[in-house]
Amino acid sequence: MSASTRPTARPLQPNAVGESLLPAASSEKALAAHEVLLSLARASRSYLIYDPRNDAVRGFLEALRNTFKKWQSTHGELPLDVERWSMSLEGEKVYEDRDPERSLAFRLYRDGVRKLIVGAEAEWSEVSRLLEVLSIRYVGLRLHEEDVVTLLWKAGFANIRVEAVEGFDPLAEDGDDEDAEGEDDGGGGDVVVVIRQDDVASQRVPAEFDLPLPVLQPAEPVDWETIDESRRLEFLSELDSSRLTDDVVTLCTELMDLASDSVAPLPATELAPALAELRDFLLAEAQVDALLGVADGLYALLKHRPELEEMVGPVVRRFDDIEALRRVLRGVPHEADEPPAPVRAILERQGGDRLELLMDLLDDERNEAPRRVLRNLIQEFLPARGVAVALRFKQRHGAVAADLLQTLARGAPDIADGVAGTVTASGDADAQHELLSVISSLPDVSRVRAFLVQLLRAADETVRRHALDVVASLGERGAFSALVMLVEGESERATSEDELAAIGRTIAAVDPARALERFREWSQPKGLWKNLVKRAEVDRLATVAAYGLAALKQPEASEILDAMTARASIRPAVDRARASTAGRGEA
Amino acid sequence: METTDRSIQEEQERLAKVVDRVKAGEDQDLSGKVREYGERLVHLLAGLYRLTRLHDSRNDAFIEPLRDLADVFKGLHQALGIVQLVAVDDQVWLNDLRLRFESHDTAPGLVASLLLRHGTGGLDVHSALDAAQVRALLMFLVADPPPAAARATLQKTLEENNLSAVVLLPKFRHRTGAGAEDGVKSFDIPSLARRCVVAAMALWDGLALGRSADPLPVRRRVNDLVEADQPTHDSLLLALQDESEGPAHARHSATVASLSISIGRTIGLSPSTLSDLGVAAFFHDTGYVSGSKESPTPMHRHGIEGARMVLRQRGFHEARVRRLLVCLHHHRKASDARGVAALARIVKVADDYDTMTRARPNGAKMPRPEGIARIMAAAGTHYDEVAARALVNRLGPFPPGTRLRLEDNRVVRVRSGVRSPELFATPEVEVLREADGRHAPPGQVLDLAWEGRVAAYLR
Repeated sequence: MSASTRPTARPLQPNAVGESLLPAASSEKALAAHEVLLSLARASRSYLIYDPRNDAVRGFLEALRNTFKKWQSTHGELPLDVERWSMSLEGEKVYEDRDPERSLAFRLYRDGVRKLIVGAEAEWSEVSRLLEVLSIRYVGLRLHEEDVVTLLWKAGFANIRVEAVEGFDPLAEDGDDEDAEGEDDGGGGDVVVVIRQDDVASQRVPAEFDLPLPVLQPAEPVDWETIDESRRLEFLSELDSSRLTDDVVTLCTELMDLASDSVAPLPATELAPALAELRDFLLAEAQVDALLGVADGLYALLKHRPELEEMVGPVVRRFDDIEALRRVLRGVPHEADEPPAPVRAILERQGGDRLELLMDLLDDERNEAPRRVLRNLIQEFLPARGVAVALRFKQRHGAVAADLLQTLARGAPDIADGVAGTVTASGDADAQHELLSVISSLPDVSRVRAFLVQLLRAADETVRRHALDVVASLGERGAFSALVMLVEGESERATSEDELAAIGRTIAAVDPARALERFREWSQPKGLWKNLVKRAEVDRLATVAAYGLAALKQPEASEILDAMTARASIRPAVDRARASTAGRGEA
Repeated sequence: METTDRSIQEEQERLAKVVDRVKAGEDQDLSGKVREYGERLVHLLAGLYRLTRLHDSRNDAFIEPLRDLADVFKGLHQALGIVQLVAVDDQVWLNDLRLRFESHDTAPGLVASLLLRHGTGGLDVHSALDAAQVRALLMFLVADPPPAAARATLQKTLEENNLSAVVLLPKFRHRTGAGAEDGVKSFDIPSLARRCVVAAMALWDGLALGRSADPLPVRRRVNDLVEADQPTHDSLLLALQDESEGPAHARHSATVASLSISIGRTIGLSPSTLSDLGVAAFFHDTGYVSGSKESPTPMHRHGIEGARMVLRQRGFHEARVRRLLVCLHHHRKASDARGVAALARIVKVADDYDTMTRARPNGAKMPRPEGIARIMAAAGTHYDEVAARALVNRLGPFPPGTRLRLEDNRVVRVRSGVRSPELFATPEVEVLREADGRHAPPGQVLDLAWEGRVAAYLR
């Protein structure tokens, strides 16, 4: 690197999460490059923190794509010099992170990358492949197979170029032990490669290795002949990455043969980890037919060689156990609705009560696609096993309870009604709050509307107000009449001003047009109505109206409120309603 | 934006699968486990180092921490396979994972200084160590190093004392030298040949000493071979025929790798598959090191033994699956009913060609034109037809190294493979003897496409 492109030595200032920020005086171009690199670093690192299918990871991917596209459309090529802790663009530092574990620059530098040039023509798919290489290095602990340089080389980028030196290569230093290990020599010099004369292998490899030769007949001299194209393509197709599963299955079979080898059978200590890796691959690829085929072969092997049971048995059982099912479930596509065949195939192998097992899986699952598949699988047990699902519902809270109630509502509506009815009538405030939380997360509340209305009349005020919140958030227009009845028909019940305020706001939220007319009536009872109600009741109705009108925020509503202030008994409530609405708006 | 959210979802799914593959076989909490073990390892090593300053090595105070340290090595080996401990200043990495220590913790610095005394920056530990081995390792580390070649001396001591599973790494540093100019690598043939042979020797020796297979150094050489053009491969084949360039097994490994890559390229394999193929070719015969002088590994067992060595490396990788199948299948006939993996069919052609035509201790070897003709004649039974045809089209009737007598009585040695279909039987040659039998001056090259006609090949 020339002196002119050497970045400044002064460290950048870190932000709240420890990422270095560029100085305010940085060029616009540097700031844009900084954004790209930060999003690349965050996306790479996200695989350390999150499940790779987590929504957060998708967010990071999206951010990377957007910043990269923005850069490309404005500036084109992104040529970066890589230093130990930082990266520079045209001599200007655009990224720095001195935490060896997090630093993107350090990852690249340590493996020998010195320049990274993302071409103006680079496609998003190439950037994604670059991210793949970096992520692999972030998550892999057993990667003696490849380093960043060989991974980048293997990726065969058309528009991303890497210049690298070999970072750490003990072989290159053979024969020149001490000199080669001196302080940084600036590199670049040729290393003299000396062939050792005292190698160990020569003592062990027979001089006539690979002999005898196969018996081959003498033949005429060869001629040029073009390789048959269809056979060539057939050969290449065997090496397509989509065929890797075939190789893995073949290898599993070979390992079983090695385990049965009459001369020196492969010990369980070597067989078990190898099988675990191959199983994980098949699971990751959702190659369940292959997985189960191999599992059957292994079960047969265990019968034949029971001494393997202790070490290999647990590994074999993990080919088709509940964990395998969980892994396959996590891999279901986002749009999956119906349970995919691989999920069913593993489910069918599970002993015990499969419904309980599915509900156990639902307990732990966070992602929506697998939850949806699980709900559908549980629903297949309904209505026959509705009681079991209802029992589980009573023991669960939040999202899991909501999933179970939703499933019950679809598969066993009567039981769902019974469950909700029991809770509603129970007088158990905690259970009622829970039911309300569940109701608020249901995509369709039509079946449970009746319970919602009942809970508006619950004995506990906190439950009633929770129910009002749920009605307001759902925007249930159908609840309007019920809410009106709550005000007009419950005159005997002592109700706090807070609850009256909540009723008013909820009425305003569910049907603003009808609410305005009703509030107008309540604000100034006239005629027969005025004669029918007591003074206290008049004030109660006016209070609901005041809060509801304030929430409507319409000129007409405001005029009615102004008129209400003429009544001394109601004026304080009007003022509080206005203040409260203003405060809520600000909040 | 041209890409839709759906494409982001698909990309996320693709990357998730890649990450799942990388993590295949790993415990869910592997990194946590490695950190925990790693921190214990560093504290135990540092504590034992301190103990050696206070007590005689036979003191009972060593017993428990040594046993604990052996347990840590065992746990790490089970989790990771090869355990790599690298110390730079006061930072310690375990298999690329930086261990976290409090700033006042002196243990990492102490471990780094213990290693640096012997000019080493880290250790690769290829198997679990028992308490006796851990004790021996500690005592060798605390002993005073010699004034010169400290690392080499200690390595030799370890190998002589049942600790060959421990490999001392050079001091870890980050080189700042520039890479290849303009991304074009120039290959000096003798240097490339030597680097390939040295890589093969290190691989074979490491496996002979019971270490786990470490394909990364081999892959770096293989990637050079994938980038090299065909004339470079032709010259490399010639250079590797020179017996002074290293032991036969290492030259054979490198030759089979070069030939396999040439065959694969002719078939149209991608660079990344060629890379996996080359690495597999380097490994294909390594099973022979499982034997001894007295009880050598028989030919029919070496593939199985080689595969078992590859299995010692942990972690799922597509290349490793392919490598295992190459070890297990490369001596099967292409028509074997059990099936033969594609890369193994390529390696078999390259392997048999080199075995037939290389110099042997008893002097017997088949002329190269005869070897290649027999392989082609056996295509479809012994050999894969596509791979055999690719070898023929690449090397021609007179493969590099073949000695020919020209019609004018000059003796020449072939130095090029097939340059084009039209020049199939007319390679470039180097004159060895003039028509009158005198030695030709070195470096006299003929292009048989222009001058000279082949009368016969010489045995």
